Formats: sequence, C-alpha cells, structure tokens
Amino acid sequence: MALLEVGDLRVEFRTARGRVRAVDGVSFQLDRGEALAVVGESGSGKTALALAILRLLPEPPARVTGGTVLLEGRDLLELYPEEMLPVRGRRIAMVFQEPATALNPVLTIGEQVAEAVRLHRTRRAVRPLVLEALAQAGIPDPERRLGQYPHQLSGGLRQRVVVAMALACGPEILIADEPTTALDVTVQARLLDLLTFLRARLGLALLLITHDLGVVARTADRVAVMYAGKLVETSPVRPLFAQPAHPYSLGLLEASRLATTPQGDLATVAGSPPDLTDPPPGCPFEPRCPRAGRRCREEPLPSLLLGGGRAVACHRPLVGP
Amino acid sequence: MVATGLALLGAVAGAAIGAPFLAPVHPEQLSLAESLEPPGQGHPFGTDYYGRDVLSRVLFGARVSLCISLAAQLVALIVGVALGAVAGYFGGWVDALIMRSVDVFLALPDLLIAIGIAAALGPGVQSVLVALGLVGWPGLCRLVRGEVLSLRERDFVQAARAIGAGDWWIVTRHILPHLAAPLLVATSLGLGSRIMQEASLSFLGLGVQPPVASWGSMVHYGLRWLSRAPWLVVFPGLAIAVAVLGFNLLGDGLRDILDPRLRE
Repeated sequence: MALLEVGDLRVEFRTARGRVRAVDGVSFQLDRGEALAVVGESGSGKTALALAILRLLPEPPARVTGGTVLLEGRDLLELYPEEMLPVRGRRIAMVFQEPATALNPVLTIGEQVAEAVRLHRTRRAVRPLVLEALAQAGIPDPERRLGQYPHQLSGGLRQRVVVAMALACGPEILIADEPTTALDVTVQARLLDLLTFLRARLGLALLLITHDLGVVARTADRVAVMYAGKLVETSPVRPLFAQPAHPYSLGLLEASRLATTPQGDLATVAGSPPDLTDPPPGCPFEPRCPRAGRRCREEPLPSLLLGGGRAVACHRPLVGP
Repeated sequence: MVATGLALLGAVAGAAIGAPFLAPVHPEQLSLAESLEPPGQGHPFGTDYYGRDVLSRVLFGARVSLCISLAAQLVALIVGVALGAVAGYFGGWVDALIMRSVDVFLALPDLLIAIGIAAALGPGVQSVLVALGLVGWPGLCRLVRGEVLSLRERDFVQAARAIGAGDWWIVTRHILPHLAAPLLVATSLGLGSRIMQEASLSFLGLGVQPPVASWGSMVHYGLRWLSRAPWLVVFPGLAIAVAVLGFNLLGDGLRDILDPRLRE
C-alpha cells in the first residue's frame, strides 16, 4: 500500500463568475521515502491540490467535491476536523512558499519551533528537540538563533526555520509548496540539497510543488505535470526529461531550457490557460497545442499507460504506448 | 503627550493610593460647626454642609472613581475581546449575530444605555460596573474583530494550522498577541470615557450611594449649594477633568508611538 494515495480528487472554488475547477480529477501515489514533484504554471491548481490534501483550503469559497486522500488506507477527507489535527504536522507537514510571512513576527524562532514539538511530541524537555530540529534543518549555531526574531534572519535562514518547524513534528510526508521561489539561486540550491539530505536521512516522503523544472531534476524521483487542474503526464524524472510524452511537457521543457525557435526567439508555450469556469469538453491544452486535432477538441481525455511507470493524458502523445 | 498624561495620571493614582496619609481628616467625619466653610486654612478645599473636608473626600473619591472605571473597563475588555475574536475568527452567522448586537449598542447613546441598565438594576456599585461594562464592549469588539479578520488570513496562521494547531491555540498564541498595541491605546482612551460615565451616573444619583463619595456623586450633592459654596462642585469637577485629560493624553500619545502608520 502506498503511503499516500490521492484518487480522483476534485476541488472547486465558487467565484462571482461561476465555479472554477481548480483540481479536476487528480490521482497519484506517493511511497515512503519517495520524492514526487508536481509541476505546472501559475493557476494550474498545484497549491489547491496541496492544501486539499491537508484540508487547509479556505471553505468557502473552496470545496472538495469528490475523490479520496488515503493516508495508509485511511481517507483524510472522511475525518472530523479535530481528527485532522494530529495528522497535520505529525504525519504530513508543509513548508510554505514565502518564508518572510510564514513565521509569526512576534514570536522568537525558539518559541515557534517549540510550538511544533509541544503540539505533537512532548510538553516537557522541549529545548533539546528544538535544537535538534534546527540543526537538522542546517541552521548554524542553533543556540544563538533560539532567542532571535524572524526579522533578524536572512530569507534562506528563515526558510530553514520553516523546515525546522515542519521537522520538529516528526512527519512522514513533507509537502513543500514552491519552497525555493522566494530565495535567490545559490540559497535555492542549498535548500534543495537539504531536502534531499533529509529524505535520505529521515526517510521522508517529499511532495514538491514547483514551476521550476530545474528544481525537479535536482530533487525528485518522479514528476507529475499539472495543467488546468488535471495531471497531464506522470513519469519518472529521467524519461520525462529525455522524451516527454505530452506536448505540454515538451513545451515546459523547451521553455526552461531556454531553447530558441528557428527564428531565434525564446521558446514559449503560446497562448494562456483556459477559463476554468467553463472548461472545454475535450483536452484543456488543445487551443495551445501544436499537435491538436479534431478528437482533441471534442473527446474527453484518455489516460494512457506508457510502461516504465509513465502515464499520459493525451489523444496524440509524443511517445506511443 | 505620553509624559504629560502619565504625570497627570500619576498624580491621580498617587492621590488614590495615598489617600489615607494625604487626607487631613477622615472623609466621613462630620463637623457641623464648620459647615460650608470656604477653602482656606485647615480646609484647603473647604467643607460641605455637614462640615466634611472636601479635600479628603476628593482624595478618597479618587479611589472609588478609579476602581470602578478600571473594573468596568476590564469587564468591557473581557467581553469585547472574547466576542470580537469569536466573530472575526469564525465568521458566518456567529459573526453576523455578534456584530448586529454591536450595531444596536453603538446606535444608542452610551449614557442612555448606562442609565437604563443602572436604573433597572437599582443604584449601586455593581450596577454601575455592569452598565459601564456593557457600554464599553461594543467598540472594543468591533476593533478586535477587524484586526482578527485580517490576521487570520496571514501566512503564519496558515502555517500554524499546517503543523496541527487547533483554533484555540491559533487565536491565543498567534492572533491575540498582535492586538496588544491597539488594545493598549483603546483601553487608555476607554478609561477616560469610563471615568466620565461613572461621574455622569453618580451625578444622576444612580452610582455609589452615600456616605461613600465618588467625584460624580460629590458634584451631585454639591449642586444644591452651588451659589453659596461653589467649591463643593469645582474641586471634584477638576479632579474628573484631570483624570480624563490624563487618560486621553496617554491614549493619544501611545497611539502615535505604537501605530507605525502615524510615524513620520
């Protein structure tokens, strides 16, 4: 049994213009110690997916309208709200995008990490565990940091504190939502190394949400490409980079490699994502897809298994089954 | 501004605490031979109809007025913060219910509510406390609700939720500490209003009852001698003015210091 198994998850946001299907039938598995990256552009539903797993979506306007989130076979969506408290942090922890605002400005670093320990592990002898978590997160001289406030730390250190808070709960799964977006490039690389190290050392399963394929290549075992609320391709990392099966994956790869068109322009994926209040009946990528045909416009997406642990949702994939 | 406010309040608090030592005579000691003596030797603030020393009564009145105002503000704070936090944090129909009650209270003049409640419960210290507490909470409730409404959307609240913190933990550890500054200002300004309202209720005869004196009741009883013995009204009136001015200066000064938006 997989550690975490998401099945046909659907999330809607009610807006003034109608219902937005932010997550539209997403399924994937995450095994113990595995690193799965979910990539996609802004608004593709990556964060909504992460928040839905932890049941942290603001309701209303958001609502989970279907599917299952099985943690070792137990459906988190069926739990009472109080039953989620010991799951959050202790089983599944989350690291947020913006370290500058994810820390409470009026509490010291030590107090905030201690909070995570107190909530899940022990109320006495908290300090050694706090120091251990800070050290695990690669914070030099943790003793000195205990009494400091978030504004006294650099962005990279703050993100490490956020990671330390997550680790202090002793989780099995770490969801990292764009953990490096707010950091500069050298600090990014060190944080990714830290996540990789923690995976090996603590056996953490990692669900990494990013729009950066460089991050994926460096950190993940498997990758799931998300577009307009759907997973359009899931694959181990190497085959995807070598030979993407979905035209959108190819587009993303070319854009991130800074590939150029024959005219010398930077390669981009032309057009913009569809209006999710009124999604097209066929493939959501069809209007932007260079390979699109009549079937793509009219028929719902198939899900093709390609072998080697790959799956693609496309009528005309670049790699045949 | 803060310094002036603190100096005035220090004087008032000093008078209240040191009353037994500062007062020339016991505030309730009658001396009919010295009825209605003007301020002068022996009685710096003069005496009332029964020959009681006005200075002593003003000093001891400070205790009564300050204690009642502080207790009433505490009642208002507890009710206002609790209901405001609940309304702002949970939203929905709870919020609607609480905020519509706030609207009702704010729509009626404060003094009218206080008079109504004090009259319904009968004169006395307890009814003044209840009345002033009920007058004070709606403003605080609205203030707290607004702050909570914006704080609960902050990322660190979401982050706390993500490590498994429950609602009580989030509100008490992550939200309410951020309210310290605005509540300090509101409390200081509120205390000024409470002093005034306590004096008003006592002036109307709905507050503390004789022989105990608060500043308001001294003005009330002094009124009938106003033309013959104005000092019966002037000195307690001045005391009220000094205390209210002190709280207002302190509150305004604190606001200037604590609210970064007002800083140059």
